[in-house]
Amino acid sequence: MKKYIILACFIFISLFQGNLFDSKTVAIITKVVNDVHTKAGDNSWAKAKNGQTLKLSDALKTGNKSLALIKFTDNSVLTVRENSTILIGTEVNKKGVPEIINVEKGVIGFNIEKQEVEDFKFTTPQLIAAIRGTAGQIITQGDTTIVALKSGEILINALQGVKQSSILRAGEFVLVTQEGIVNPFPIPEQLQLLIDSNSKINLKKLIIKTDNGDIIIEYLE
Amino acid sequence: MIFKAFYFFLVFFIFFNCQTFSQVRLEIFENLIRANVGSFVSLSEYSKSSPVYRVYITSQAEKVLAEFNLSWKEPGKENFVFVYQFTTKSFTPQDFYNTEISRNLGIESEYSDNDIINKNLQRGQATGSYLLKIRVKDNLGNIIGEDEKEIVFLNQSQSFSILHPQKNSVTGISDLTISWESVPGVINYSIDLAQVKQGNRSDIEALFSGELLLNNYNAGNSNSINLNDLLTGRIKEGMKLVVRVAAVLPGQNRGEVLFAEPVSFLVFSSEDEALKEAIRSLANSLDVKNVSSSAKDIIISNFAVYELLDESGKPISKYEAIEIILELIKSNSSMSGYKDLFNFSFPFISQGN
Repeated sequence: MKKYIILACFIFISLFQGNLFDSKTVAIITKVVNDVHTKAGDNSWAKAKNGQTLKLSDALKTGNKSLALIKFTDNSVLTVRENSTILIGTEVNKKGVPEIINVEKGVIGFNIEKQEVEDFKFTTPQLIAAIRGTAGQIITQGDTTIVALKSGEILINALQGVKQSSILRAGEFVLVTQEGIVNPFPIPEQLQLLIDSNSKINLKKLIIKTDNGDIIIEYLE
Repeated sequence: MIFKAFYFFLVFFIFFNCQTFSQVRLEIFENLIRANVGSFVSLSEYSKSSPVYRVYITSQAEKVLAEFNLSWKEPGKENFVFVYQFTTKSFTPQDFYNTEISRNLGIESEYSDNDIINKNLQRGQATGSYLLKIRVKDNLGNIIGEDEKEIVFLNQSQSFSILHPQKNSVTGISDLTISWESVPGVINYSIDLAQVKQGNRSDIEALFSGELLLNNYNAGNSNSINLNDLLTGRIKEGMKLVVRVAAVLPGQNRGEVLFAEPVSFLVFSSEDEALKEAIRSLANSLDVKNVSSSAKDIIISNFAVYELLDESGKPISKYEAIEIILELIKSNSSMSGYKDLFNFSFPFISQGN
């Protein structure tokens, strides 16, 4: 009964306000698996919870065996895989979505709703990816960033070296390093398997009971 | 008037020269592709099989290079998908078969979608539409000719399957019978059998590795063979095998060949042994940080499994558990090329309470 009252209050507040987000909120964390932390501005890192809101300039990081799902006000979704760190930009576009998401390291899956005028931008140390509605993944570590695209188009601008630019189309990927070369190729099988694997978000367990103790295999499906 | 005649002669001469000295033509041997699609869709198979296409190049250029692009449209789908593209090294204009490309011309660069290639190989025969394009350029990068051919394979009505073992199953070492469905009018059945090794990108690839346990073994018109009879002592516990059965039917040249979908299977004395081996293989394939030391102690011990549960406490069968673990091994090995780039923490093996 208590659960229904809370739900009713929640719906009422949502209807009254027009949406689930207040004016400063840009996203909500819809899924937390294991070790996920957030940070507002210069504050210290704090453990994230399901349903927690995110504001401009907030950062989010995931540890080992962890992931987070983030839903923006326009229903765009980011999947932040294990050992990843992102920083939300300081400005919003006309749809109330952050103009920039800075991916410091890790694997980020994105499913971005169509933007009307301005692009949704990801930045990594190596590139800026400008998106108007598309799905794919960004993998960045050290001096390398891979962007692989499942649907739509992305304009990729390298930030270092010769600073090449190119349009990335569905089914293509680019690997950008300090050299700044942007050369799209069809996604090969190995990378596709990695992308498919990174798209899995449900934590599963296989518990093997043996006479010498239990073995637990944790995996994503 | 003389000037006009000279002008027409000049135009005719140039046109005639272009037609005569810069020609590129592609001839595809459709029947051979139908029989062995691997020789068409897999670049690594080019030099091992019989020719499936021939390229005719006539050009005045001293040296040329050729760009090839193959795409495939699956039956029932609307769009072509990329299969492979490659560019040859520079060569003197000449005619050649596809089997001569690597050896005689050399390959400068190549790119392929192994997922699509494996999908074709798994079907065992050509299906849908294939579009092969060739573009020939001179040393300055000018296109001197191009051609393309689309071939469509419509007759997919007749097919047959391997009945035993089942795909991705565990088979007892004492029961190594391979059996398959009958094909009406067959001349004989031909069997290929290979061991799947760690270096193979896919199970099917083992069939093209050149190290076959059975290579085109003629089983007559019998519907089964027993590997214990044919390969006494050569099949050991823990081996993963892949088998392909071909039905040779009456037809032109060497006859029409119909392939059953290849089947891979594990050889063990029991599901218990297969499960233990799968757990050990997974632990060995993962990074050290993804296996806790206490879990490793159990795995290397002589343990016995008495119950299997999922995350909600629901019991699952040994066969289901083996399938899950084999899938994890496969996807983990496919990501091995990216381990330097990203710190993967799944799958993770730990000891429970």
